Amino acid sequence: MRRLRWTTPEGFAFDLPLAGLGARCLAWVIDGLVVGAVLALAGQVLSVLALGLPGIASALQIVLGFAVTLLYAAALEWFWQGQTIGKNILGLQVMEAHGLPLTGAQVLMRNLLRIVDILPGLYLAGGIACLGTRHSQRLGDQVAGTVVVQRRRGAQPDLAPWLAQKYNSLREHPQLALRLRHLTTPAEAGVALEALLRRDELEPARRAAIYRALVAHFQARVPFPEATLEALSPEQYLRNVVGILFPQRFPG
Amino acid sequence: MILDLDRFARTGQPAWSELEALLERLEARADRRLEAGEAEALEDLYHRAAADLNRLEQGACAGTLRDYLQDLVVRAYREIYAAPRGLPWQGGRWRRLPRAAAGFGRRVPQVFRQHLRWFGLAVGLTLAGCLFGGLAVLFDPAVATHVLLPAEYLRHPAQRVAQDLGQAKGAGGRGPNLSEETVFSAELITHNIQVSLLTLALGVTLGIGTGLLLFENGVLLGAVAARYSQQGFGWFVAGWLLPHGAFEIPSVLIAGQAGFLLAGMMLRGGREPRWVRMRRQLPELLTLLGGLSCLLVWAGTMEAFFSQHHAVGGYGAQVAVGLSEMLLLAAYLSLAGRGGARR
Repeated sequence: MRRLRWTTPEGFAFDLPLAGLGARCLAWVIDGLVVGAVLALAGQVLSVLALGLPGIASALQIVLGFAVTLLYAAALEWFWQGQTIGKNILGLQVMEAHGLPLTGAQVLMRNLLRIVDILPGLYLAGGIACLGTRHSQRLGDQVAGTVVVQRRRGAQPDLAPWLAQKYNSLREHPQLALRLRHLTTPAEAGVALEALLRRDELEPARRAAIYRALVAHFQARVPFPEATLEALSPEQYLRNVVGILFPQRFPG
Repeated sequence: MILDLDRFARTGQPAWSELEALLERLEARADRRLEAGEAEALEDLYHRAAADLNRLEQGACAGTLRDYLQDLVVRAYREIYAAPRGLPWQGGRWRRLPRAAAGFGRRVPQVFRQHLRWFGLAVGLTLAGCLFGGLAVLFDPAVATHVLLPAEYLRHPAQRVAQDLGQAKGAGGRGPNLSEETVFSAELITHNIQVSLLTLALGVTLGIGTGLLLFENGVLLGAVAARYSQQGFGWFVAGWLLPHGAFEIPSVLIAGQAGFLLAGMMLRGGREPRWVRMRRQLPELLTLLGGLSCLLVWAGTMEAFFSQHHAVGGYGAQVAVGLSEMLLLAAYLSLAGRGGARR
């Protein structure tokens, strides 16, 4: 997944995942349905006006259809912090590509330029531009200097269940445990911890495959005796590894 | 560095929770305005959360916690740096609307004059197209009219004139219909704005698409003018096109100017990084687009309600109206906003 990295004037670094083409397309479809519903509703209201003033009602319908199609996304993104209804549902957000505040001109321009992104049909030009640029920017985004990021509104991770672990069989081999801590890089430790924290988000079959791969990785790094491993499932083995790598968090 | 996550989370958690609660309160407010105490708290909590996030970035950590902190920090960053927006009807903003409209009216000609060379290029390409279309019809009418003129009424001026005269006299035709003309006007306005927007937007092709569109438009204009004049309907076509064309054609040219300006912004080098320059100049593009959209509303109204009615004062009156509009527009674009010009 492509990422957006930038540093604020205070020196804080940000690193956000950019939205994929699929998610953006889906958001666009949802927004299309919303626009369709709004226009259908407006059509119903205008049909009452058409009884007395058919010309005015038809003209209003044309102008309204044009304005809503053109400005729906711009208006929502401006007043709703870079989100439309479709983007909100899919957790996407328009941001300034350099971390600056999004301006009205940027929001308007990225949306007005959909007229070329959509050419020759089905957002082909925009899609190709997205695939061909480092920050997945369609033509409108490139001109406006904006990107679409994937927002993850996570909650604080709850690690309580792991604290209940009382016994860690790998600690029976203190020299190997020490070696494991010594040889494991911070990135590897992070992956192992993440795999456990996201346990319930993973499908059982995929989870088992990931845990087996991690066990094989750590076992290749520091081989513990076979007898120790026999009694452990891959998940339990991984918990024990994490317990060694993060001793304060997971007392064994 | 492997962080002691447990201690790290325990220490940071109260401040994170406080920041989260503050952000939720702020995000629920339509005007996003901060009280003095809230502003101080937000800045302090933002700095602490961002520092925590940086510590996490440098250590082995749980991605879930990093995502949580990053989300908090990004939301706080936006609240601090983004100007409070509010809604147009809040805080008496609507009262400033006439002043804003007057400012916009002065700004359009200022931006137009600032980028006059791009307008010149748009005019040049359109004139080249006119010349090509006109000469093609004059020298090879059989082929050129068929290829260059897309509709029957453009290929056969006599039919069109007879139809208009018939309508005017009520002989076999219909008189003016206010309802139909209102719809026609709305169609014209939206269609013309769409075409102008496309002309501007094609600036992203480094101006090539914009240039081609202007040339094509010129070819059509030249071919129509030549075809009608060739068959002795020059006065008719002037009376028919000028009342709305006086605003419509300059609008397309201004759209071309904006398209070339966009291409220039994308291409031009300089000390400033490209994205800084583009961010600064985007409002100028939008000012031109806004200005030409206003012109097109007038042009669409004239085309639907006036250009088609040759009997109102005859062709002479229509030509006079068209020429007056052109003079007014030229005066507006060259004189308005002088004195208060800002770059």
